[in-house]
Amino acid sequence: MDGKKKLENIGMNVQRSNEDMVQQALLIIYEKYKTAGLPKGIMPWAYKILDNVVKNAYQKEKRQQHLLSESVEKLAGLLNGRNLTDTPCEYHEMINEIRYAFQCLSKKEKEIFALKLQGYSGREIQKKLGIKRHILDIRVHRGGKKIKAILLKRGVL
Amino acid sequence: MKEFMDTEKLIRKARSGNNAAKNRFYDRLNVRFLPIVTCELKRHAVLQKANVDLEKAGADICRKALDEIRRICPIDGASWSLKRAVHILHNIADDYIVNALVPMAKDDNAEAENLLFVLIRNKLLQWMERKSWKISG
Repeated sequence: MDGKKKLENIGMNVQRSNEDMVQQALLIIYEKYKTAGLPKGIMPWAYKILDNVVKNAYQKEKRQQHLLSESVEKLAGLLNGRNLTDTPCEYHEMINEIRYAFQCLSKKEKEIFALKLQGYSGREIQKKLGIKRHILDIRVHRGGKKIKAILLKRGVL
Repeated sequence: MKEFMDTEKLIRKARSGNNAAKNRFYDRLNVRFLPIVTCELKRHAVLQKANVDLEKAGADICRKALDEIRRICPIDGASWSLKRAVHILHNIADDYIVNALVPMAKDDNAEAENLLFVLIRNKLLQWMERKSWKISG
């Protein structure tokens, strides 16, 4: 399967990402140009850099998807631990509802929640994402509120 | 109209494998390509400022493009298309311009540097649109 289809399959917006990835590759090229100069065959070298950027973006997106699906199951496990649901069917439905609730979060909120459910502390998340404490708190608060509202509305809580 | 008819006839002959016709066809293609390339080169004032011989560069690019066309999509092959030939010509012209700009950018020519990065960006964007990436995993 070609990479473009793979990126689409994991839910990446290829059209929007194209410019971002080119920009990222261009920044790398510029940095290398400033430090080490440009090689003789510049375009094959530039294509190679862009190819690597695309591959990295794909891997990162895939990792995040995996992290997110793990987080959904962890949250479902936590809710299930409170004896809110009994049958496996209900549990399965709950996972779908939580997945839907996660989809409603912004990209940054998703990232934070995924890390939080992986067991990272606030300080670690702060360090990992390079954000300030109060921003982290705001995002956790907003995201939590959104998830709670959706789960209440859908009858999970 | 006469010229068009001649070209049609020439293409038919070249496609049938007639070597003389093939050579004439490529010569004619060269004549058509030369003003396109020269015009493309003249668009970049930075090259003119650097006293690059545009006529010579144009001829050079056309020769390289025709070699590439003969190799990749010859007129008597199944892969021949004029669109593809023009595409090859533009690619070679772009590569030539980029390679000409690199030493200028190294000499702290800000204009050349800007143009170089704009061209690289455009080429990368085109590549992204076209390329099917082979991602392992």
